[in-house]
Amino acid sequence: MDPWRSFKGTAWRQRIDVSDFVRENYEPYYDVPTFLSGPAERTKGLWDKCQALMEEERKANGVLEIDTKRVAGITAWGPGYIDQNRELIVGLQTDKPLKRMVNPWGGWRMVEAACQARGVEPDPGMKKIFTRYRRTQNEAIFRIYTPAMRQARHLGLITGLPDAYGRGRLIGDYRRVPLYGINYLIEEKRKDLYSLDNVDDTTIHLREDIADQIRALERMVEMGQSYGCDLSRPAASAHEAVQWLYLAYLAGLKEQNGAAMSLGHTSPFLDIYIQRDLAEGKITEEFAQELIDQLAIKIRLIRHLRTPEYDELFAGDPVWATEALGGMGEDGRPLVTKTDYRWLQTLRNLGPSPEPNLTILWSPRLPQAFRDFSVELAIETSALQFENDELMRPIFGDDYAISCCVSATRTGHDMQFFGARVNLAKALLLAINQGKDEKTGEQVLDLPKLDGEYLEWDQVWNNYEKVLTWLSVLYSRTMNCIHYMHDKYNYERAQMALIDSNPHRHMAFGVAGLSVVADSLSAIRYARVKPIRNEQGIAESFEIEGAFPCFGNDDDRVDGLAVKVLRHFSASLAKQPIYRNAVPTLSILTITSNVVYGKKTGATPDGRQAGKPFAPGANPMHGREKNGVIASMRSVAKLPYEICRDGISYTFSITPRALGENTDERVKNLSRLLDGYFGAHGHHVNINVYSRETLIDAMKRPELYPNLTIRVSGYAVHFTKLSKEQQQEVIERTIHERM
Amino acid sequence: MGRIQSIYSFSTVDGPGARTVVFFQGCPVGCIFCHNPDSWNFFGGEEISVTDLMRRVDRFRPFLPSPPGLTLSGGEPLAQVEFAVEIGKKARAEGWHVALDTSGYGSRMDFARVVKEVDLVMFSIKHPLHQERITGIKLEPVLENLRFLAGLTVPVWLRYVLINGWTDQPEALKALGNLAAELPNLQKIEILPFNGLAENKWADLGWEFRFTQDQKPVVTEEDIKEAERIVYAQMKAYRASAACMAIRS
Repeated sequence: MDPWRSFKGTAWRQRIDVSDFVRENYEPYYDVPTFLSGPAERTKGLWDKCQALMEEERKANGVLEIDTKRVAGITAWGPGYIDQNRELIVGLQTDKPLKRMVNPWGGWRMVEAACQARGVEPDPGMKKIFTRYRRTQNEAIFRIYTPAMRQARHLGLITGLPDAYGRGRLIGDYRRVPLYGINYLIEEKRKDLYSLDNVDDTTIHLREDIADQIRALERMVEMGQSYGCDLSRPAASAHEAVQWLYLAYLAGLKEQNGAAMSLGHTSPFLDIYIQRDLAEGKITEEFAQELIDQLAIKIRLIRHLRTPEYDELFAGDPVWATEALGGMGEDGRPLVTKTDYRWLQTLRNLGPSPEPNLTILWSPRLPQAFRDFSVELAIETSALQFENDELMRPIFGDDYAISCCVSATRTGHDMQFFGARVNLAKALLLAINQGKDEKTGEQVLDLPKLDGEYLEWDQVWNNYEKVLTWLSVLYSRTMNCIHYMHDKYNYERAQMALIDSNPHRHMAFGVAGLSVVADSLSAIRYARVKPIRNEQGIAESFEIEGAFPCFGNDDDRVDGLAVKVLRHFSASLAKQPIYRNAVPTLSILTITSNVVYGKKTGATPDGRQAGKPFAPGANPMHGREKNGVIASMRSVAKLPYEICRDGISYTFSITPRALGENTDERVKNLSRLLDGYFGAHGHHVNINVYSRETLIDAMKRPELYPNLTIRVSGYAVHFTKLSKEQQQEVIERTIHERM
Repeated sequence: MGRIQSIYSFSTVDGPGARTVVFFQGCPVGCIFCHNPDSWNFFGGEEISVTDLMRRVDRFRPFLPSPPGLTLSGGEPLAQVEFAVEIGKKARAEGWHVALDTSGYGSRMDFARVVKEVDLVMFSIKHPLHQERITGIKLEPVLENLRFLAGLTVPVWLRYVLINGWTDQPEALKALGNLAAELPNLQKIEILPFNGLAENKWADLGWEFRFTQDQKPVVTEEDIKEAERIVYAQMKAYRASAACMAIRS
């Protein structure tokens, strides 16, 4: 059977161009989703089985089983199943569901620590190989780190660096496998490889990359064969299209433990295949829904082996398997298809869950029915995030996906060098403490001493600019080291095989603690702040006299300070030389790490006590938003996306009653809030609709809330999987309500 | 120019739909259960012109469903008549749906001027029989304004805070039902449960809050339902008997 039967268009037939294929063949869906199907018996049975397994996993302290014998790889394991009779979509990371693989390429110590935390020992033979014969990414990076880099890292000035695990954030264009089949993809890669014959470093590096990618593609075919799927040829049906796409994605998951592994923006693509089979009378709507439900189940089972320290940063086994939904096509047609609805329906058929990380690309021009349905589900499940399509489309075109939590990348054409974040609040304390770390007293850099009993704005700002400039140099150099070695020792060949051979590269820098810094600077500028210094001259606490405006109240005086900090830092980053000519971008995003960053930071001039959590992402500090949610959104929307293209994460929590009296009102009000926020150039928002009482109760009786999903910064998580400290921080966040 | 305590950008409990609320600074009523005791002082808050105020709330407008709602609350808006009138005029001319949240305490003339400029009056009866027990003001002028309101066409909501032991006497609820029955333009009665959340605000001001931890009345959903039942029943009875009287006379 011709796999391309009844498909329209020509450009995509002559070269790899999935966007063109989608544009020529997809059908926008404008109507209400009355067509949707509930959970099918078969899939429900499969999901029940998975839930029982996850319950066992919970009881086993979060890890069910670790395969300590094998090294992660595309073909390391033979086929694995949950319940073969019920599985429409097959493929597991290892040979058993929830069994975790060991991935030593990133670093041996990490493997050992993670295994030991779970009371198992990794295989001695493997240890010998990865400690004696094969250098790992982690070892290589630490060999070339300078003392300054090590210091910034251990003080927590630069944190969450991907120097001991996969950097993640890559999105292969997994649609290429079902559309073209791997044989054709290999042919194209070979052409790219042979067209490069210079002998300079850059070219040879690229040639090696492509050669590795070809190897990965060959392995993908092998892996497919083990499941009885011939990935070498294009998919000929909807069932095959979903299966091929998933196996292509799975290949990446089998050899990489990157923090974030997005799926992409696949629904208009898959919808084309589903619509064709429906039109040919080959499948029913129930079956179509099952395909998506089962794909969602597979994504919900993804696990990586992590250390306790990693869990402390990013709790709840997040994968950031982000699937973008909605958005508008550049030709003016919405990219909303029936399959976008089918994805949302998984939240009802299987119950809410953090994964996949469903992300609505929002536009005021989206069909009303889709706007209403997605907003209704956001209210019902607190599992959705929204991003501003009108802001991203002009920059990335209409075929982009969301990498990790919030960051747009053109599917198949861009890649990212992920780079965690710097702690802006600690940097401010360096400026106040003459370049000494406030916790240890270590001298980090030399700065002029501040004189006077009170902090003087000019002096503090002057020093802070110096710290930020110095930090941007150190940070970018650290990142260059990491990614050089990551490419060399832990290259993501499976994912890169599904991206253009010489992609556009971003280096994704980030900041944490922005609202703490904005409020601190505001206190220094608009109130009087007296540092209480110890004998070493380090400010251990601050006395604030008078009132000062806080970020989150639509007050330009302080909102402008946040922007000023970002502009300075981003401009200095832009001047630094970056590995592989990547373009630097910046995010304001913390995930759950705002708790750890806060822990590592002394008291700040805004009145925040030492060790207290920061607000997540770009959020105003807890409880300082006095003028309600719109004012808060207004402040966040002032942070300029043009210099923060890696994304600006805002997490919004509101009680159901405060959002409106009944469901209709809530949907209407929230849609309008989104229009307002995005109209004001806000970039991203997590929607949480719950009451503080629910969270407190879930903390006390977690067994009653196994599915309570909440959005933190950039991803969703099962509330009960957070650490006690993280739970407490979520409870203390501003939850908008007016009684 | 006027004095405001604050502007709250998004509320769904201060009138119909989602609205922005302007809290006026200064209140002569002095309810013992007040939520915003920091809004009593006539010299506190922030001074602002009507133009600047409108400029500020205008920033919230694209986030509100149409027509955007603006509620004048407080404090007591009637205590700053010119300011309230000007805001009402300007906001309505610009397409806002304006609601007045008031205790009804003010001269008849002032009251008449303000209600003329709004789309909805939310009239808070503190106690329909013994207002002096929970406020610092007399009942009669308030009732006079309510009677005046009955002769207008502007829609009215009656609001009543239920506090066990203070405002939940059946005779009080019946009196409330009678007042409601006399309002042909009544759209809604809102019986709101007392909650002691303002305790900290009172403490911040160094004032004594009547309802501290151990003496905090707990108002349940059932209490609210029961109160509503009494009020509505009385309202019906009153209207029926009024109709009888009308026929007889």
